[in-house]
Amino acid sequence: MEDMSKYLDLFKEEALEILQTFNDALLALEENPTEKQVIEELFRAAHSIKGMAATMGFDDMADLTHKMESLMDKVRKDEIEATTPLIDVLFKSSDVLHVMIDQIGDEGSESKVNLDSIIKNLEKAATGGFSSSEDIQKKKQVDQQTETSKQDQAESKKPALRTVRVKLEHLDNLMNLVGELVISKARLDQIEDDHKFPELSEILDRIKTILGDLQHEVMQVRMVPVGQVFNRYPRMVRDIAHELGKEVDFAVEGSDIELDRTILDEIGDPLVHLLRNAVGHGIELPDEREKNGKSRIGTIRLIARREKEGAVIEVSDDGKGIDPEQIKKIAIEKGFITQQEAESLDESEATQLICLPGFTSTCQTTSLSGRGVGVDAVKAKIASLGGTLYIKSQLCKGTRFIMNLPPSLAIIKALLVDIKDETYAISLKDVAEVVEVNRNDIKTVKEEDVIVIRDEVVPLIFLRQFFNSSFTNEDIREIFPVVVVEVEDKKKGLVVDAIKSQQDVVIKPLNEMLRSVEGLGGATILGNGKVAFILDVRNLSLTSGRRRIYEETEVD
Amino acid sequence: MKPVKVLIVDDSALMRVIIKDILSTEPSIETEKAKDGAEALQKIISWSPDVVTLDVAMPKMDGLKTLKRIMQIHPTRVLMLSGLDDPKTVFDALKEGAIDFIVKPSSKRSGMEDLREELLAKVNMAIHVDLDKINRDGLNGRTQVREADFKVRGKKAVAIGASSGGPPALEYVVRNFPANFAYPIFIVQHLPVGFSTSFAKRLDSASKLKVKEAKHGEVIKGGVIYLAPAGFHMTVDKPKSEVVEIIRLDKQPRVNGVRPSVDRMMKSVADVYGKGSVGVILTGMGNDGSEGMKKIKESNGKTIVQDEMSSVVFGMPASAIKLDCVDKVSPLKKISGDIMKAISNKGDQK
Repeated sequence: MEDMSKYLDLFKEEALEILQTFNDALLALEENPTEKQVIEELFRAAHSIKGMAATMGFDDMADLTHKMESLMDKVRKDEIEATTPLIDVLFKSSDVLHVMIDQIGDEGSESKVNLDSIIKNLEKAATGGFSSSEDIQKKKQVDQQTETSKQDQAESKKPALRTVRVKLEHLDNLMNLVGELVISKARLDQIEDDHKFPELSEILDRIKTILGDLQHEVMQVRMVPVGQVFNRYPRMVRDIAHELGKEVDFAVEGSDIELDRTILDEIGDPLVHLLRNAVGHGIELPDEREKNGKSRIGTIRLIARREKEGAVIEVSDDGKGIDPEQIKKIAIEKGFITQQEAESLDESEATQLICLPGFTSTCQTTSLSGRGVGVDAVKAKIASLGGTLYIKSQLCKGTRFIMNLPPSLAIIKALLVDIKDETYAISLKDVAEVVEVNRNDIKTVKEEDVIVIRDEVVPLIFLRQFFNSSFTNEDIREIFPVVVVEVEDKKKGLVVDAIKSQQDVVIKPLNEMLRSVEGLGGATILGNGKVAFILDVRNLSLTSGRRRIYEETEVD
Repeated sequence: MKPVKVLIVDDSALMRVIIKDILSTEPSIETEKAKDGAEALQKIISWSPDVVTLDVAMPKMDGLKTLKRIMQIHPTRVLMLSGLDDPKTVFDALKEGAIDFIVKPSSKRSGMEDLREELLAKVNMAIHVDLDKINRDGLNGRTQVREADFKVRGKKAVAIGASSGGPPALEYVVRNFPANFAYPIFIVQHLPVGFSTSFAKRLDSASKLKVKEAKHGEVIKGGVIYLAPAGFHMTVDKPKSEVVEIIRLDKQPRVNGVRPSVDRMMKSVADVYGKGSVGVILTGMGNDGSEGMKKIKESNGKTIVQDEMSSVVFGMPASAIKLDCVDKVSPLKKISGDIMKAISNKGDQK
């Protein structure tokens, strides 16, 4: 017997690729059930996988794809029509097939999947479709079958790479090594700073250039197009919409935008949450939409785009939106905020409240029920990647969930600042500008200390106070530096003691205990060997770090 | 020895690699790969392969379209690779000048081992096909046969055997029988299982006579062409208790490595029809049919083989000639006319 195991990887990769084509074409067929070209494509895709599976000796898979192919052949020859039940059966078949491909063992054995019901359904569809209750029964069985398959799929999501296949762990190792180099180089910088050897600084400059290039290349290698994850969503959105009786037009933009592979893998599930929410709770039922003067078909958009060094991924819908007043009401009722706090929040700030841990689970019975299912989890996940989640919503118009993601997990450009005796790092992508502020310029608005920069009111956060150092009004110097950060469209001024320098820092995760400390996003090792915390400016902004310190000047 | 250059055309990367690996087991074979028709045409022009393996089902330009382009711009030896599902395209391709075809593994077959064997055998066969024979225009033509010539005299039958290159040749031959041809014709064409039903239909629509895939036990009628179903030996029989001749199908072991075998069919025809038999061997690889032809000759029947010029593969005709049992060597265009003459002469001699 021929040793086929050497062809396994190639088989899986190609089969999954063709299966993706099959799914895309199936979606297109649903839009336009008579499109000849799409029908041909479906036929050919099933045919190709069948041939490959048979060659590999995967008889069950060959049987299943053979039935799929025969069904499409009949559609192709106009013997039967591509009805919705027929397309559904093909979708189910494709799910089962996906599981079968995923489950092929390393030694090349085909895992046993019970195909009886799906094959019966395919055969039934080939003779003209479903009608009797017996069929519905069978369809349910298939549904259950695919339910398990979906779970399996979630566990083993492996988008296919087009080019050289490298194990991700190698790339991780490479990235770690580059990280170590960056740290070592920072130490060399420090030594050079302390001792001033001209020869050393010369070679250091050279190393700096090479290291920069190396870092860039390694990061580049880890980049994959977001389309690899995005391409499974049209199908999912379609399925949920069907299930809920909603009509949804799903558009994907920017599939070619590239993200770090690890980040991309991690945002898969959060995106599933957001898309589910958008279909389930954002988009209204067709009749309701019509009543409100909207088109019956809702639109959900999944958009990726470049922004600064990182990327932005946005899920938007034109559904019913989020009512900030209601959010406030619930938040007060559940004791998340006080009446007073609620009044100080503007609409946008109120909307963000749904991200508070446990917020959504507490309002199951209201009309908002589920609107934010898992949004706190999503937010936490994004934050753990060094990104942010921001929600924009307009009542009756729709909601946008905007994710800001860093270009890389491991190394960021940071601004080092001193707060008392400690050095902290602030991710440069959050920094809008650094200004020197005269203490007389501090004003108070709504009991907050603020400064005005170019007619814009920027609230101040005294980081010394935030980190519970002893701090009084007397500690405010005559002139002090403020790092203005921009988070979620809002500017905050972080008051620090001194600005040190700008450099690449390698993010090291915090241990369990430190992770619960508000305002800390990670740690890094500095050139002098000391550990510096990386500030999580989002949490700085959202929590109660801004306490009124300075009360003399009132703004009129 | 000059290496043999084989171009592998397939849209599946997996299939390309597998085919390449199979072919590379022969040190004399060099391979190149093309993922679609356009790339194939380019490489055919720039690399001049000796043999091309061409997948039938490909996106954009499919195998048949690609083949037609190849035959227009740079006629080459082409072997089609096909699934079981599209015999029509395969027979079209053979008519357009493809030398032969190979069936990709399906779940009903054992897969790789068969593919390996068939692929290597057919590539080795194809290499020896003269390039001049590739462009086979004119197979659509028709030679005039006068129907009035024809009268039924005695018990007679025609037995035809063919292999590589056979389908289009047979299509040509059956097209030229007159509608009042009154004797049975038995055809054995080596085909993979799954292809003979479609081929019978194809011949039927080409011929004025009825062409059918033979069934076990059916009574033989004059003016009908019986095609042996793939996977079965077809023989004719005249049971003592009966006044009619009947067809028998069986699954006895392969003869000359094939089933149906031309030898078995022809020997039974010689037994039943004796000097009324006319044996014909058309293009094909190997030597199946030569023993059968010899038997027909010994029974005082008539024997005809296709000539070397018009045969894609001059294997089966040549081995019959070697046994010194061939009355006439004819170009394809004359075969049907010669069959008519042989049948008539037989009657006249009586």
